[in-house]
Amino acid sequence: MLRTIWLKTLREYWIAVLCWGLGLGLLIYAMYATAQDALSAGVTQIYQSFSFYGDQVALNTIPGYVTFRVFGTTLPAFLAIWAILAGARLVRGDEERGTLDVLLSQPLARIRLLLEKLLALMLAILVMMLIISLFILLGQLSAKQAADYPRALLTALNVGLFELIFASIALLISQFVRWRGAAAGWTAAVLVIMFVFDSVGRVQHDFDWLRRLSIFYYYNANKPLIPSVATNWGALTLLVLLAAVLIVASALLFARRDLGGVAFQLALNGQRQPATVERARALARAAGDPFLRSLGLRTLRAQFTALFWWTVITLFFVEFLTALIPSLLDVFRKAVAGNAVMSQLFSGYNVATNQGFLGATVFAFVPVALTIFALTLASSWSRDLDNNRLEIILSMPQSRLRLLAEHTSAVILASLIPPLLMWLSLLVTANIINLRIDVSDTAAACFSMLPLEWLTAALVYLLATRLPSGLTTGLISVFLALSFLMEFLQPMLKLPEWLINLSIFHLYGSPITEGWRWGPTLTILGLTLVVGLAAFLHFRQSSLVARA
Amino acid sequence: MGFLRPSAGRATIAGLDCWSQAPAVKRLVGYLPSEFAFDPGLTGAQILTYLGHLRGGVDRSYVQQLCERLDFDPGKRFREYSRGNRQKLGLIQAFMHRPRLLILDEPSSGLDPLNQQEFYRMLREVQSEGHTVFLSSHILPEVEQTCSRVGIIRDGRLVEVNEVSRLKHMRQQTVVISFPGPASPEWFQGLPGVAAVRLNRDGRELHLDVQGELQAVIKAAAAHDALSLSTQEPSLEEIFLRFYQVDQPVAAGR
Repeated sequence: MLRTIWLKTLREYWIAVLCWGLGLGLLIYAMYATAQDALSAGVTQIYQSFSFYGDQVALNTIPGYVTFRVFGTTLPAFLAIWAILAGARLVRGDEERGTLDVLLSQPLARIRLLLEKLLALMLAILVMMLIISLFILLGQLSAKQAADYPRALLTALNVGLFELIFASIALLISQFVRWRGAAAGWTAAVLVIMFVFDSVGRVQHDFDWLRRLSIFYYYNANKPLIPSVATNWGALTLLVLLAAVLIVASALLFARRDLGGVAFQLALNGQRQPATVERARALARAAGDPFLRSLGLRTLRAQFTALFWWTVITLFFVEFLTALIPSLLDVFRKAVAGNAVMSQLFSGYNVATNQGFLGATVFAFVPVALTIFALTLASSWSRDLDNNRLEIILSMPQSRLRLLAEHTSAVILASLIPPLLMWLSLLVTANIINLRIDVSDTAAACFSMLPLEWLTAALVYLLATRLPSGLTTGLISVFLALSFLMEFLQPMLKLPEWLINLSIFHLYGSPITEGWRWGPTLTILGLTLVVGLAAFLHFRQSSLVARA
Repeated sequence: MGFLRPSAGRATIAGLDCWSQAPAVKRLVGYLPSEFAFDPGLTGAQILTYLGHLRGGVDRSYVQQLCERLDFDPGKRFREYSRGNRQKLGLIQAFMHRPRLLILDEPSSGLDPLNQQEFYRMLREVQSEGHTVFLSSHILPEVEQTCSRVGIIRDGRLVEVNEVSRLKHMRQQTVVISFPGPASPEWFQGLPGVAAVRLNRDGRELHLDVQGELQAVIKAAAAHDALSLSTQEPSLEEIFLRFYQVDQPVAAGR
């Protein structure tokens, strides 16, 4: 596997290929397995109100239902996260690590290096799509449909082409920016804009032309799973041409630009002052920065971008669903009335009430998202310990306890902001659209998430004293995933009380409908306190090299 | 530095316990780790300001002076610095609060020759002000040039601590003696202090490894009509290598 660049690159992808292939494959299989029940329960009535989300073609058939739920937006957009990251780091990753210098010191043309790496990426996508096509086939069999592998394969290949295009956009953008993170961020923005164009065009017929600017539109022009939809060769050709143009442009730019530099660098730096003046200016600028005064303030500043985006996306999600309540409540009321399967789909929430709807749509997912947010915030501590960035900080005349306390305070403060803004914005939106929700119950639902966030952070601090960052994050992610799955599937699994109580999301419960649940909330807070204290004591006593 | 918990015993700096009184110890110390790592998004100036605040404030004009001396541009982000520039940044932050004790791990690695010379001047200045520099280095000519006392570690144990000058004096020196005709190693074998005798290729010159006084060697050379006699003092590198010779037993540290 180390004989050529493309084999070496392919080797780096195999775990991602397996994980994404199997994970998405299982999702497809589950969708097929539950499709008939959902269709019989009349779920299509609800989805008719979701035209912003995808084309509704043959929605009352199993292929139409699966295409709408999975292949329209969810799966391509979700997998695009991987494709964008892979495209952004294809050459920029090696440049950042400094390994591209070594590779290019070999007798090898730049264009060939890029094309070999791209070949590996295309093969990785192809294998992933083959795995997915097999799961589509299994899904068809589980739903007692006629097995149609050619349609399954074409569906997967259509997704593969979509992913290749987004990987290529990231690759092209990475020629213009110095860091892979920036390339991935800009490409993600392109993905979101494309989705918005397609959505708005579909919902507002006056803006139908917007759809033609979106890659989603051309991708969705072909729906190979649905027999009644004919192949749109024009859309397919356009996507293939787009991929080719992106790749050729990236290769040409990569062949011409400086290593570590960017294409079309503009000489806009202006007249540089003498070195002494520049030095004095740089030092004076830094001296005026209030966020450099302590570790706590510095941590808060470093987390600001993440905090901003997590808050904006959470608020967007919450506001969007809250604004839908007046138009959707009647549909839900009719769909759920006397229908046990539908009730089960919403985890027992009474979705015919304002707060029940919020519980099923917002507060079943936002607590999970915000605990993951807290995990990413606190993980900066263990990451910094891992890569020795804390060594110099720990050589400053400040006690270890104080440094850890400052980091913890920054994380606590940052974790407070999304629930607080969520609560305020819920109240404001409800007031604007004249929606009745209970102020106290909404506060309970928002602020009961805090103990979950803090427990997650405390676990990071405790494990980080002994374990490397990757293992710490992995273990806590598994705990959160199990907690969520146990709670989400509880209506079907019916786990015993002692077991389900190990899920922190079960302990969170449904404060939006039940109000404050002081018992479980105080239990999690108490646990957080114990874990936090253990982390502080352990960190004070331990050698820095003791982490395995 | 309070990084490692002692498995036994204790370490003190200026009478302060390095573990239980770590913050007080760190106030006295300027520290440069072997790999200086930091948040890649911060500029050199931001890093120096941040660390200055964590130290409770430092003299900004002195920081700028250090930047000038090492020709360091503090306006770039950490991720953009070369290895040499990262090392300069590490040195500036170690020196910037005028510590009583500097602990420097491989301080000159990555520095170009001009900056190395400037760094040695900075070391001599702090030494002349009565401050202590504790550095570890694999570049032994540098140690020889900058240090007065040296410790040698072998297999994790301190096998020698001494003044550089005394270490050289105490250790073996090489004596080269030329004769008018063929010479024999037997003339010198067994004399006090003579550890080894080698005959060179033309058979008229002997190389002796001698420890201590040379009186007996000079007398024996004169007795065989020696033409010339010269001594070569061992470099610190040679002394160091002798400590690392496999067959050399590890002596107890002093």
